[in-house]
Amino acid sequence: MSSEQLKGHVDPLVLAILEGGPAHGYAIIESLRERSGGVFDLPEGTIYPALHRLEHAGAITSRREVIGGRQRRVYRLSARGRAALGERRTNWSAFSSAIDRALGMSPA
Amino acid sequence: MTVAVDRYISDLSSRLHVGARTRVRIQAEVRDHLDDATAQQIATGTATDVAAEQAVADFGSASDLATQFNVETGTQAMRRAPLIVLAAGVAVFGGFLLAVTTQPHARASTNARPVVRSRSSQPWWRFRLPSWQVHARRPESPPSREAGVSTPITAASYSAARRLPSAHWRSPQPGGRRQSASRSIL
Repeated sequence: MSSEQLKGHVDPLVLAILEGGPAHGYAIIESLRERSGGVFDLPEGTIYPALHRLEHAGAITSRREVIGGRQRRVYRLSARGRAALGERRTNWSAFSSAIDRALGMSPA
Repeated sequence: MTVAVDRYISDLSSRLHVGARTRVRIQAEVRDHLDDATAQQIATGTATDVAAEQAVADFGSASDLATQFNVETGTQAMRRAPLIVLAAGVAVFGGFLLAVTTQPHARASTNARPVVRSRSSQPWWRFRLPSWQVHARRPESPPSREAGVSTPITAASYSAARRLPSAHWRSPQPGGRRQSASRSIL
């Protein structure tokens, strides 16, 4: 799946991964690849502008921590991010159901 | 630390239009990521240089990434812009009020006789000039008609010095025409 198709969906995907616990950028992209079964093959750098955007919006927080003997910036989901994720899930559910019906993949 | 990673970070950094702190943060994060990716490739038996090249390729174009960061930073700046404009406006207005209210009592030349309108007939928007303008521009003699035409602010300065917001200056020369200082500056 191209990055163009994923445009607009990166933010909730990142929030969903951070819901499982704090992670740094490399771990987030690895987790995204695993969860999608390798379907989401984004350029790895794409994740960082999204992380900065989410942090600026208050959906996640970050701080430098030592992981494996190295300083890494670790991101955490905030309360606002958790609420935003819930909202995006609800919206996505309604949207995907509507697309399925429109494509004739589920009974109207 | 490999040449490919250093080159990529240098290329990315040269394309970023962000603040110094954000730039350092982005550089550190990208380097961390590329080091991790390189290490993972090396763990699978790939040569170091090839692993670094592969990590850089997987990371994506430096140009595209810089554009995304620049757009993000620009968007944030745009969100702050109205607040900055408002703060600047308040500061300018405050400075103007301060200058007007701290204006000292100054005496104009005795040759000039101001004709004062009643306060009720003065429009609210005719302000006095700040004191620094009055002192900086006060001439040795009162403004004649010609002087008033060539340096309109001078006549207004006399008016301001007498704390008369819209005084009209009568020319000291016989038969001279009345000049409107307030009209000259507006």
